[in-house]
Amino acid sequence: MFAYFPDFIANNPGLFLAAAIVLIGLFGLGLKDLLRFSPTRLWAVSTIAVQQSFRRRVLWITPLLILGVITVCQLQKSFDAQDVIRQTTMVCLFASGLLVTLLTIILAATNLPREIENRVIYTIATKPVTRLEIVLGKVVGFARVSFWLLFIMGLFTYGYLHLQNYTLRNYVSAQLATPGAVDDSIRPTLEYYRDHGLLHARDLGLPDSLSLYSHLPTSPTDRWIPGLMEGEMIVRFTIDPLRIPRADPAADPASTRGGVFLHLPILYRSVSRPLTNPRPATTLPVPRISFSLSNANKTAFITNRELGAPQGIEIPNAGGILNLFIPPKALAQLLPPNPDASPADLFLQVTCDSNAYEYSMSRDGLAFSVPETRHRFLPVSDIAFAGRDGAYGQQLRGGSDAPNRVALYRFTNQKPHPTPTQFRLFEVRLGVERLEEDASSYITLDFLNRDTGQLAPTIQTAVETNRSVYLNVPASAVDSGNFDVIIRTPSNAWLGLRDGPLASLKFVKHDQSFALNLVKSLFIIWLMSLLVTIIAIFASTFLSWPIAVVLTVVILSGHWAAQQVVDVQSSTGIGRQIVNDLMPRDIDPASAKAVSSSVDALVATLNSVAAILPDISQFSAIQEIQQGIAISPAVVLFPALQVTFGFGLPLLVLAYAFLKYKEVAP
Amino acid sequence: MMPSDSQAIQTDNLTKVYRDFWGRDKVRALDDLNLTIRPGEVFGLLGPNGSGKSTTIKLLLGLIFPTRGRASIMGHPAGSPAVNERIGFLPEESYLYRFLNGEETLHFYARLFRIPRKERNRRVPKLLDIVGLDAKARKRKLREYSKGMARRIGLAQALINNPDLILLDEPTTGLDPIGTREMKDLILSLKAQGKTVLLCSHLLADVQDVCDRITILYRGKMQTLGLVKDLLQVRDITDIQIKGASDQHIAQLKDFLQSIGAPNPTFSHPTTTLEDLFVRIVRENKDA
Repeated sequence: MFAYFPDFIANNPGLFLAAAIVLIGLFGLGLKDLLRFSPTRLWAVSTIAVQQSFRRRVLWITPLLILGVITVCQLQKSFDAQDVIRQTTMVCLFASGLLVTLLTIILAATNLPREIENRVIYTIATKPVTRLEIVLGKVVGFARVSFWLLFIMGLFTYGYLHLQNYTLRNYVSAQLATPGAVDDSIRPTLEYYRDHGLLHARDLGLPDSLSLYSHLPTSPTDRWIPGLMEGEMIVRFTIDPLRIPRADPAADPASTRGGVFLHLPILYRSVSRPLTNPRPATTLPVPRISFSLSNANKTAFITNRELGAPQGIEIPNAGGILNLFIPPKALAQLLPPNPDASPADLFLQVTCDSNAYEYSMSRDGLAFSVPETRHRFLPVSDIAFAGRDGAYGQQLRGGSDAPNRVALYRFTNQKPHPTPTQFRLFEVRLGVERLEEDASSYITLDFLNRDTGQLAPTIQTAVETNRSVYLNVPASAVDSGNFDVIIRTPSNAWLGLRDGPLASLKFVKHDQSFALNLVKSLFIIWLMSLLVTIIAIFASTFLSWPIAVVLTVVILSGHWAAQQVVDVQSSTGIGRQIVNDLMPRDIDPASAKAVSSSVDALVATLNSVAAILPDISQFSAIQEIQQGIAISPAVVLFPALQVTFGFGLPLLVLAYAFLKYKEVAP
Repeated sequence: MMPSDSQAIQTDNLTKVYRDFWGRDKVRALDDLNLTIRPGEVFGLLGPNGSGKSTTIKLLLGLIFPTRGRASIMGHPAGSPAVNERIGFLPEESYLYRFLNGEETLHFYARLFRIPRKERNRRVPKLLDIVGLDAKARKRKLREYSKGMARRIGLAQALINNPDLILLDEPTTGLDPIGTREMKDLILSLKAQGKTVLLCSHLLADVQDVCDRITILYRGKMQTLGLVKDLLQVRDITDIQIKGASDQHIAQLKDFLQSIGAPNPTFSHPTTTLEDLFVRIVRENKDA
């Protein structure tokens, strides 16, 4: 068990550092103070922070904010009734979060420096209050202030949304009652609004997978993607570094020792249908593939470019196996630096170039092989057939140019909640990138019960970007829990489809209380304000208040900012890529190496910075409630709790340690 | 020297050097202070501005840390929360939360001592009475207090825990003569209750009136230490006071003193202090 620790520490340096700070800080430096800890004193210190904030008329900001929210809500343009609710929810919660965050930064970062400056700390620190109680008391105090601010904003949000719900529901009812006023394709959606209102907190059944194909598969082996990089095939391998002999640096550069062969059984066949704009060619082009091999967290990549084939790799013959050698140096980028480390996951992604063909990859023969030992690493996942990533998810092309393209959502053991009706409610929410101005976009959905083989009548509906559409699906098609949904679009457009928690197709299991969802959302904002308070108080223990405010903002936004840069340049080979793409061709090798290694070092530093700073994107308080989805504790609340306490607790202990050894008399 | 529980305050080579950002010595505010204050005495810490009085107080309270040496209070290291349970501190100015009123202030500090609500409700009005803050003043925010009222509430917070040791930094600053007299009376009453008082002041008359012993600091060093009466005594002059003596009695006394060889005896009526005069007049008018 103890032998496992070094690996655990190497894999979780942040967690280890946090635990070390907490343990040393509390049980080493602060044991006496911990034993003296008194909730009464803590509450007294926190109450002062609350009274101070309230008597500075902090609460007076809330009516101003409410007026601002109402003004913004009146000015916004909405698609439909649901969109009004969605936008109002977003504005209210965004404003609440912004207010609480800004106020918390200002109040918490200025509090301690001001008490030291005006010497009020003299009369506190000379009482039997430990520095631990002072720090914790202030954190609790400002957490109480945030709570009351959010409570007021929450009450307003709830009331205002209910008022809007009442008005819009009456409007929708009137529309439905007027003959000819409602298009049949949106009637189920409006009926849902009329019957259930617009304030939802739906518990949704999510698909297990989403696949995109160049045409509907007829069997498990008949799966194809289109060319033009519009489809991709992804598969996971697990590679054990111990099974790969170590490269000898002094060996012949041509030696294969330390590298692996990648065997790709790529299939292709020509597209038989006539193209709308066929290129005048007497012979079909040579098919090529591009590939990318990445590690599990996608921080390192090897592509065909690194193997000297920037234009792609030719597939020699249909049905043949493409053998590619991954040299030791390139492979080393993907595997853990410690050769004794546990097996690592690698992801292989293959895209294809020409739209004259469609392509497939067989699991049989797909492998990595080690030349010296002939050991073979086989894929550990099924091959996923996906669409190209676009602004709204995987892209499915429609229209006459791609009439056979399909997206397939697969549900397994997902039984919709039985209701007295013969229909089950499904929600579609996707993105549309139109190729023609002012054209409406439609999709068709076919529900196939895999247990019975029964195919429900095709449903067609109009879609708009990020607009929920509700469909009544015959219960017989889906009640078994094992069913496929085949989506096509006859419109000349790209659909953006997502899977995972924000899947574009879901079924409504049941409705939860909207009020409870709002409470959860506000709780996440409150957790964020708690983290902000801790950071601000930590910064104020050793800095003057203006610098403490700046440092708080930097810590809060540091992860996001570093991630923005690293996301753009996430490959470890980015230095070399920049030299190749941006530097003059005749640059001397020494300068090229300096630029390359500097960029790589910068990316590595940014990665390290991002790893130790709090990821505030985990405080996802708006997205779910705005879309009417019940906030799942596991998906949304726990990550927020993890960031708040994983980062906040060690920082709190550091703040205590700094204050304990700080001379508070200026 | 080991700290002794039998001493109220003890410092051993207590030194404080203030340093600049780069760690270079800037000011030696206190230099090797060795001081022992016994329980139950009123001790005066005197010196001009910048002599190290406030630095000593801050070191004793743990607001700053010594560069060298150590300070102990009632046998425990200075500044520890356990010691703070037994001490009261009135700072040079009343550094209190200005948004609280008098009562709220005392309740807040009482909570820091974990004094139960029932006891707080008994003790807070009593203390406000002792320091002379009336019912109206108790409900006013501290930001509206005069300097004298602020000193009074400051004193009340210093006494909220019924401390064994009270550190008073310039306690009479900002008080009118009546307030000054009341403060001095209070200090003497604390002494009568067996409490130890460390008084830090540069108003020498106040110190002289109430202190048993004093030390004078100058440029961070202790210059003198002893009983007030010993330090102020003029040993070669004897003062004889007689109440209601007539001119004839004085002439006879003068003759007698000359006959036994006392050189040039002088006779005069003692004067009262201006403070006594002021207090008497104000009190007479108040009673009238």
